[in-house]
Amino acid sequence: MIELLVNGFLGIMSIDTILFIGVGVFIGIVFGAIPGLTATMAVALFLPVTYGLSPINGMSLLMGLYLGGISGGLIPAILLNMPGTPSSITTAFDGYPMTQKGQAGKALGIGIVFSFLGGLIGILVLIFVAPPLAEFSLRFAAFEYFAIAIFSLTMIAGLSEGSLLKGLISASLGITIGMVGMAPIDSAQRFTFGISDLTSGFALLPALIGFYAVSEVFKSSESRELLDMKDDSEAGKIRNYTMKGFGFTFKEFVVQIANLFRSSMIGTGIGMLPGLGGTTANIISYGTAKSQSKNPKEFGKGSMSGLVASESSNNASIGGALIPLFTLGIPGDTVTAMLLGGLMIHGLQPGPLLFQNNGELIYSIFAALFLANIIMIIYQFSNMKVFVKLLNIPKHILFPIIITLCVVGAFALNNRVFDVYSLIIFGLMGYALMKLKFPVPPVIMGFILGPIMEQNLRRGLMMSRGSITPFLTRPISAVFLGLAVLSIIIILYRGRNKSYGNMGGNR
Amino acid sequence: MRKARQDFFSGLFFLAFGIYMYVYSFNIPNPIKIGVGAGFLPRLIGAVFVILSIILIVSTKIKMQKMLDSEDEQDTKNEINKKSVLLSIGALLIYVLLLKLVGFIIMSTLYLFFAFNLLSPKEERNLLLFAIISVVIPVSVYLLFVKGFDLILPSGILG
Repeated sequence: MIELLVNGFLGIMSIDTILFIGVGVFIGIVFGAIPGLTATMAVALFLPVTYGLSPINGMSLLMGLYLGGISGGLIPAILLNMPGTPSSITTAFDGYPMTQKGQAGKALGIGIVFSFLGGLIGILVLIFVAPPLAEFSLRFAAFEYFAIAIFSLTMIAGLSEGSLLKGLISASLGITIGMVGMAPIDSAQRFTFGISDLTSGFALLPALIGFYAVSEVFKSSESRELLDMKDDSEAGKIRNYTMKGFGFTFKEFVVQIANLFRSSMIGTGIGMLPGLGGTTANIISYGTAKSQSKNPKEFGKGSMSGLVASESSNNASIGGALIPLFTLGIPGDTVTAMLLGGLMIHGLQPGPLLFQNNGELIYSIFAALFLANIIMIIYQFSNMKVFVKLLNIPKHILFPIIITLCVVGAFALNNRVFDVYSLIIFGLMGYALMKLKFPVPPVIMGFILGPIMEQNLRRGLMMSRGSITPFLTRPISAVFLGLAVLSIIIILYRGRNKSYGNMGGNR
Repeated sequence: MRKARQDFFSGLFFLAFGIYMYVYSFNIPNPIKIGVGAGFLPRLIGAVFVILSIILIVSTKIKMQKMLDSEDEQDTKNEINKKSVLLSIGALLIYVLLLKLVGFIIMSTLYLFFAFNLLSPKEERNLLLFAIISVVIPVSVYLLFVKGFDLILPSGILG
C-alpha cells in the first residue's frame, strides 16, 4: 500500500505532469469562481485536450480541474454573496456577512484552509477505502451491478431539485437518449431511423456540454441586463480586503477541529452516494454544524463554524465521489461521469480490475489529487487578486467563447460534425427543459446509468437462464434493490409532506 | 397559470412520446431468446412515460381548475427577449452547419463577433475590442489544439 502510493507519487514527479496539474487547478478555480461555470463544465471542455496526452498527464489535468472547480466557488460566495458553484451555497451564508463586517480576508483565509483540509480528508478516505472495496467488488456479477444502477437511478430522480414526477420524466428521457444506437449484447439497432451516424449512439461529451453549456448561453440571451449582475458598490467591495497570514488564530483553529472532521466525513459519505454531490453535502453539513453548535444564532451572521462546515464538506465530497467511479466504474454525478469518459479515452475501464491491471496509474491519480490540493491552497493564497479580477470578465464575452470551445470539444471527440450537431440538439433540449422546469441532472444520469442497468439486467438474465431469483437472493444485489425501494418510499413520503402543488421548484 | 399550462402541454408531449416508444419497441428484433430482448427497455420506458405523463396531466388539470376560481398568479416578472434568443440559436445553427465547409477559424470569428454584439448591453459595446477577441480566440484555439494537442479541426477554405 505505502509502496504503491510512493510509486504513485514517483509517477507524477515529472515537470510536465506537475505543470498539467497546476494548469488544471488554475483553470478549475477560475471556472469555479465565475457563477454559471462549474467544475463539470471545466472537465467537459478540457476532456478533448486529454486525447493527445498520456493517461497520467490527462488524468492529472482533469483532477486539477475537478479540485480547482470545487474550490473556486468560495471566492464569489464570500465576496459577492453569489456562490460560484452550487456546492458553495452555504459558504455565502456566513462568508458574505463576514465581508460586510470588513472581514473578507479572514473569511477567504478560513474558506481556503478548510477547503484544503476537507479535501485532504476526502482524499485520504479515498486512498484507504477504494482498494479494499475494489477487491471486494471483484465478486460482483451482473446482478449486483444492475441493483446498484437501479439504486443510483432512484436516488438521482428523486433527489433532484423540483418535483419527483418531473425528475422521473427527466431520468426516463435520459435513458431514452442512451438507447439510441446499438443495444448492448445483441447490437440490435434502436431509434436509428436509418441514419448511419446514429448507429453508434450519442456520445456523452456533446450531451453534457449541450445540456449544461449551450443551453446556458441560450438562456443568457433572454435578457441583456441579467448578464451584468454586479453593481458598482459590490465591485468596490471586492477590492476592499486584505489577507494577513491564514486570517485566523491557532486557538480559533483548535475549536473547529471536531467540526472539520464531522463535516468532512459527511462530505465524503454523501459524495460516495450516487446523485448526491458537493451541493447536498454542503447543505447537510451546514445544517448539522448548526444543530451541534453551542450558539446556533451566530450562523448566518458570519459564523466561522458555518464557513468551516460548508467549505470542508464540499471539498471532502471529491474523494468520496471518486470511490464508486474507481471501484465499480459507476459514476455518481456529472463530473465523475466526465472523468469516466476521460479514463475510457485511454482504454481504461474503471472498475475492480483497474486496480489489478493499472494499479500504478490509480495511485498516480491519487497522488495527483494530493498535489492538486496543495497547489490549490498555494494559488488561492498567492493569487487571490488574479482570480478576483477574472470575476470581472463580462458574460457577453465569456459565453460565446465557451460556445466555441464546446464546438472544438464536440468535434475533436470523433472528428465528425455529427457530434457538433448533437451538441445543438441537446442544447435546445436542455433549454426547453429549463424553460418547462424539468431538472436536467437526471437526464444526464439516466443517459449514463441506463445502458449500465440494461446491459447488466440482460447479462444477468442470460446467466440465470431467464430467472430473476438471483437478483433477489444474492445478498449485495438484494441490499441495493432494498435500498432502492427504501429511497422511493422516503422520496414519496417527503413528496406527500411537501405540497404537491409546489412542483418544479426553480432553483 | 402559464406554468400549469406548460406542465399540461409537456405532459401531452411525453404521453405521445411514450405511446410512440411503446409501439416502436415491438419492431426491435430479438434474436436471442433468453431473458429480455433489446425491445424490453424501450417498452418499459415507453410505459413509464405514459404513466408519468398521465399523472402530470391529471394533477395539472386539477390545479388549473383550482386556479380558475382564485386570482391568476403573477407571471414571470422579467421580460424575455424572444428575438434575441432566436437570433442566438440561429447564429449557432449557421455556425455549426457551415463549420465543415468554411472552416473553424473563419466561422468562429464570425460567430464570436455576432454573439458578442448580440449579448452585450448597448453601452458596453466596444466593436474594436470585440473584433480583436473574435480573431485572437479562434486563431489561438486552433494553434493550441491542432499544433499543440494534435487534434483535428475543420480547416475549410483556409486549408
